[in-house]
Amino acid sequence: MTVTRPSERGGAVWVPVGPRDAAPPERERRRPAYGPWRALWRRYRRDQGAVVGLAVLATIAAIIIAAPLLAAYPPDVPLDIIALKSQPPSWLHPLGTDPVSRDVLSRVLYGGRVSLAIAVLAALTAATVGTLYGAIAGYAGGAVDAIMMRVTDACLSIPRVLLLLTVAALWGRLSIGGLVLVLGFTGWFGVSRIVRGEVLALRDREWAIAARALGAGATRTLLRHILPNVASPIIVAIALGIGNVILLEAGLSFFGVGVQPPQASWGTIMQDGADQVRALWWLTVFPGLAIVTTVMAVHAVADGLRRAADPRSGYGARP
Amino acid sequence: MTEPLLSIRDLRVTFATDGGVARAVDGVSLDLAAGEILGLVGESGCGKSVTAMSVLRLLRPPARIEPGSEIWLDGRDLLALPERAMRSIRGRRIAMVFQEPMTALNPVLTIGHQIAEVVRVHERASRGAARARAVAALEQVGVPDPDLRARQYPHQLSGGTRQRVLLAMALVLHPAVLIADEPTTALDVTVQAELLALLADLQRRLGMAVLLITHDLGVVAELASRVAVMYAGQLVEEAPVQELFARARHPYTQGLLEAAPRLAPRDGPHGSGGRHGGGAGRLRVIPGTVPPATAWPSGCRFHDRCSAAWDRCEREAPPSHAVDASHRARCHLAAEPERRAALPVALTGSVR
Amino acid sequence: MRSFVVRRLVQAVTVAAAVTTLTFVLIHLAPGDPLAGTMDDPRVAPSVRAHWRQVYGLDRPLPVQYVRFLTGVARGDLGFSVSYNEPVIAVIRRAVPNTLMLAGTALVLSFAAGILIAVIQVRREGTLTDRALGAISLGLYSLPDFWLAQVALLAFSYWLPIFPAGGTIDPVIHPYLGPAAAALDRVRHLVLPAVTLAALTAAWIARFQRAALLDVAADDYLRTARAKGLSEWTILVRHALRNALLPVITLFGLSLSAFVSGAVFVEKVFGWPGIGSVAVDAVGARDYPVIIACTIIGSILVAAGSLIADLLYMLADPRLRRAEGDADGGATSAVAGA
Repeated sequence: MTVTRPSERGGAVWVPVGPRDAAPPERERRRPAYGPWRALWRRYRRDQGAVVGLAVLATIAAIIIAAPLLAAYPPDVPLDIIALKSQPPSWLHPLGTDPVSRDVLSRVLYGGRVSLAIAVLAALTAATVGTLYGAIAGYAGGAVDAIMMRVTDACLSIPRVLLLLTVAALWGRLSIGGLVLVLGFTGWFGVSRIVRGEVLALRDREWAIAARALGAGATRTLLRHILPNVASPIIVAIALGIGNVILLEAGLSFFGVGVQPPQASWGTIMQDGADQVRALWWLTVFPGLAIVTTVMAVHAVADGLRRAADPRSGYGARP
Repeated sequence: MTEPLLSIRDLRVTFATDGGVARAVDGVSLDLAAGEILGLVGESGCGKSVTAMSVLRLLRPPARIEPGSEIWLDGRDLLALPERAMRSIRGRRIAMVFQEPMTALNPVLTIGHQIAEVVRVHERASRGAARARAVAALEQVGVPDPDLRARQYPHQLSGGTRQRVLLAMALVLHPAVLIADEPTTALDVTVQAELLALLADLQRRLGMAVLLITHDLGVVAELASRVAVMYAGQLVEEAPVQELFARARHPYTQGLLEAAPRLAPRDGPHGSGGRHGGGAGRLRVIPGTVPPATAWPSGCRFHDRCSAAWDRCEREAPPSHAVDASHRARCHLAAEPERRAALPVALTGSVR
Repeated sequence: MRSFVVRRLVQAVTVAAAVTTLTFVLIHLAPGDPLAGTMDDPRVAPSVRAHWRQVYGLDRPLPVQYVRFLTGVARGDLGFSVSYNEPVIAVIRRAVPNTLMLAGTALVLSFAAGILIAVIQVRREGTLTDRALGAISLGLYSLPDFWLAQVALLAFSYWLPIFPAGGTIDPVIHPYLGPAAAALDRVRHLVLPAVTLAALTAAWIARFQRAALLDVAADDYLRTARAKGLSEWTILVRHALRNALLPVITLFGLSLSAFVSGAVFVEKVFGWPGIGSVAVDAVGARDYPVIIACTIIGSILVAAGSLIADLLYMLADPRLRRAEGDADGGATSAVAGA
């Protein structure tokens, strides 16, 4: 898209308009040398904590994906209900066994799949819903925006755990899919506010107005012009969401309201050891450590993304 | 000649940046006598603000005052003082006023509190006594209804009033030296004039020395008794104000003076052709831009923008030549009068 | 100022109404009969079942039910709890003070600790202290709340028997203690749960406060303060912090919901009889009126806390107050609400 502008000496000068249109049409296919994503990665790389976090996260993800290869035993099969019941960590069972004589290491590995999958899917769901809601509110503006945001504010006042408990009580046992949906649909409020704020600000920037003036409809403007500029806060929100949901799911499962036994998740493993925390300490400690390590890594990555996406000029990175 | 009150000797300040080491101030020596107003003039980026901040040691890493620099006050080298001793100098013996009155005051504290704070920090004064002095200081700088203002917050005051407040804060303890860094740049023209008059008046009454930093030659002409011109981290010319305006010796100074916009064209109502390029009053600019502080040009730092430069200027950095008893210029022309005489009239700096 | 308070009160009421509506919708979206769990008990006679059906208005059309529900909540009639065998409002009335005591103490502790940590981090920015505190914050911030509670119990109640293992008071001895000893007993029981809850939130607050301080660190008035000869600590606390506290107050309002959420699991692990414990128990016992009431009450608490936070903010930021002599045409630098 270009626009003519009279030049000082008379005659027209073709001026590119809009962020994606800096290159003339015939070069559109080729990627620019320093696109915004590359720049983001370069800035991210400079932050040690964030890089370590990403490495740890990648390692954990790899280990968990490779669970079938790494786990010596199946996670849900009692091995020897008499001899191997509630055994402390040993060479054969590095993380011990639980009261039903299942190998804890295998359960932690497979449970990790469940916990992480739930977290990622729920966070993505929340981000999607929140982005759509916030984008519509921000773009529409006026009364529509006001009403939509009132609703969000009211929803934000509801303590998430209590809401989850209510849903769990009313619906009874939740399937894993149901759990993902519920977690997702209770977590989008924050994202929507952020997205709405950004869309509102960007809607009246010159290039957005120009896009509309040149005939782009509301949807197209939103999708192709505005939203790409909101990508970073959304990504950060997804990362934080993943961390939060891991913690939430663990808690819910621990209290019997989330993932149901005998399905292994980091929360349910801890539930198995809840009655005898002192005696069967390995059932509490190891899943807990797994959770803490993963969530720390996720937070480190989220921090790094946030810093990389919002570079402050001056003497070194600020958090 | 009496001992100067404040003496900056060979000040060098560097910044560590991504693009290399920036030598923002590179060997500046200045003397400020008691009771005089010294104007420090230059474009943005020439190092004048950094020089000023160095006096009070307000610079933070990655800025670094290089060893070998000295700043003398009352027979002590400020740069060698422990921090605690330096703190007792700030606000009491040397005070500083900055450029942006809109943001220089703490928005959540009252005006009176902020001025009284200076008093309480340096002297053992009770709250009441300190506050009374704050109100008196406000009155001295011409703030109407000072008692009311002292109870107000910065956001309730206009820019001009805020700058007066900052002056009051600086002067409440009657410092010997006031450093004013572009005190009027952010203000409207009429307010500027008022503030300059106030500054002149206060300086007369309190008899303090003022280091006035500005890029505005008009301000300098009005207030200063002596002028120092900075370019690229160095002093390029230093002279009493009348002398500088009448007989500037450094091409940069001449360029600055020429570049000042005038209401009437130089050569009659329609201007002449030739040196003014035709038309009425086209501004004469100094060609080029200030080079980056990480890569000062070789030899004389102004040579690539100077219309009088020749090969010596690129090879050899000129020392500060004494043009007169009180007039110095860092230019090879000052040492080669024959070459100077051979230049076209326009470049010899006969400016009204 | 007054109009602001009125507006926020209205907002709080709106929140309560919205939550009530939401829970109503959820109840009726859920599969099965809301009474099914409690009424499945074979000992309940059909006539009793029909009676309760009528009392609950379950035989009426939905809109009518909704109105009854809404007015009931407004009146304070939150139904009847079958697990406690008393009106729900009585259960809530017992539980709320406990939650307030725990949450209130934890809030104060966490803000104090969080702000202190942030100030230290900024004063020693870039040093080992800063990075160590930052890492500790990150760690605390990443802990599951119930897990930390369990670990705290293990550590300070079993291995090092300093604190009691749960509850608000010693069930056996408390009635026989004199007033001072009784107070001490309460305090001893409060320490572990409050510190656990506080530790999690303090880490979060420290991170935000640190960011806010660093944000403010480039502000010009700090340069003015330095030029006046103030010491770095004075500048940090009296000038920078005063300004950097403002966003944290806002944060306090926004964080209440998460705070109450965190309290739920902590309460349950410590056997602290507040809203959280009651809620978790109610889920297990399928006592719907109770869990619904807990959610509504929890939301109202959050809205009320948020209102207080906004009032605090208005008091703390002079730019938002209407003060004398504003006629100077000075900027009304309106701080846009979040």
